[in-house]
Amino acid sequence: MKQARVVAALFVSVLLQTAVIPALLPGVIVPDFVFCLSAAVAIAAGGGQGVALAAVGGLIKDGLTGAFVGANAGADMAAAALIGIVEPQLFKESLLTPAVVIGVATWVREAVYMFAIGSFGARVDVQRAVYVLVPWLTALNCCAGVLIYKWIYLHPRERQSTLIQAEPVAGTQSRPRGPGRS
Amino acid sequence: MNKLLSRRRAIVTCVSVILLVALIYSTARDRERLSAAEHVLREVFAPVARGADYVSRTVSSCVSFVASIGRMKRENEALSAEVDRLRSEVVQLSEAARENARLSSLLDLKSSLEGRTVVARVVYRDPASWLESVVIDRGSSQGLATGMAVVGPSGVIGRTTSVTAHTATVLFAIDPRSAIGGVNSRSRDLVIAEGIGDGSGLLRVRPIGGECDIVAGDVIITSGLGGIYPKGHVVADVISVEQDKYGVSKTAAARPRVDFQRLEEVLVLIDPARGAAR
Repeated sequence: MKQARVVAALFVSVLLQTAVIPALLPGVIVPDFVFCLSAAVAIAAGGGQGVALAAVGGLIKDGLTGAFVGANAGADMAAAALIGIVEPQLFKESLLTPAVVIGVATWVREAVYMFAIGSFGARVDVQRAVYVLVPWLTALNCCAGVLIYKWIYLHPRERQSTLIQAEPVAGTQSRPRGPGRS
Repeated sequence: MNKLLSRRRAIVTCVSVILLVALIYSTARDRERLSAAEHVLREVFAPVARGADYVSRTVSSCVSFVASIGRMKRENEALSAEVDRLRSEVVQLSEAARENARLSSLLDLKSSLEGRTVVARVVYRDPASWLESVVIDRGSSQGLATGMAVVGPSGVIGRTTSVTAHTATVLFAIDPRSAIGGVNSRSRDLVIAEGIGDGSGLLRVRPIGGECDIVAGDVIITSGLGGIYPKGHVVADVISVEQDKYGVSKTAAARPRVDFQRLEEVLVLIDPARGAAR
């Protein structure tokens, strides 16, 4: 997994989440691209990198909102850490894996986030969150997470394996003819 | 080694949790000032977000424009139909206003006359204008008879000729078969105004008697002596005067004030003896 891809993905995710999608589709629930990215990294590269990215991405989100700084970061980090615990047992070559893992992680993340801001005085409408917001967000995050996972993990691996398969064929073609066949 | 790693992990986790809780606690209340890190983050991100927002809105407006082309086409068709309908209504209303003005002036004339009068509408005219006459929509059932004077707000139009139950023919004053007994309003000399019938729409004014004082610009009005046209209605304005070749009498050309080509409503004087203009 290339670091540059992840950094670019983080930048694009923040832009999509905070500026582009709210401008294109005002008033709709936006998928949490930054969280999806950190979750996808946690699935692909392990909990350490996932948690680190979740900390950076979460703090960016917190810094832009300006209230309860650390709540997004903490929630994202907790979810990424949980993914990191199960990561060694995951089958990573299927798109179903990130869909399921990110779906479950979204619920964990939202629970941690609501608990964090609720503990410090914010009014949390749990019923609306459980029945409306989080199910929608889970569906959106699953879709977005699958795309991100494919882009940062599966797609580079497919390209790499294609190149590895192509190399011996090229070597065979350039091999000089043996003396017995001349 | 594993023990050391897990111990280090536990320490990092604990420190992270403590830091985050402290951070959330310190930022949970309303703050007047943001921290330096938040300040920098926002200042760095704001122009990028503004640019992204601008691009997004541009793309969004383009997409919605393309998506709305079909709807706009339908709206355009509906609005075009509406414009056509409204234009037609405007024409109708303008026509009604013009008709209203004409009828008002006719009504003024009607109220200025003493005798019984009938307002009639022109229903037929000769398309080729060969005949200096029109057909009106009032006839004997409304009291019309042949030889009744027909006038308008601008002056004398002519007289009725053939009359049916609901129609009548009006022979214009400019028809060669028409002759109106008139008087020069300035010199009070009696004249006869006859139609020339050459398509010029003019009247030939001949004096009755030898001496006649008539010049261009004089106004000829009805004398009331012929028995058809009551006294005082404008017949025509004298535009030129000619001396005959022997120098004995004068003949004048006069232009009626009535536009015979655009007549639409006329007033028929049922009682010519009492239809004099007041």
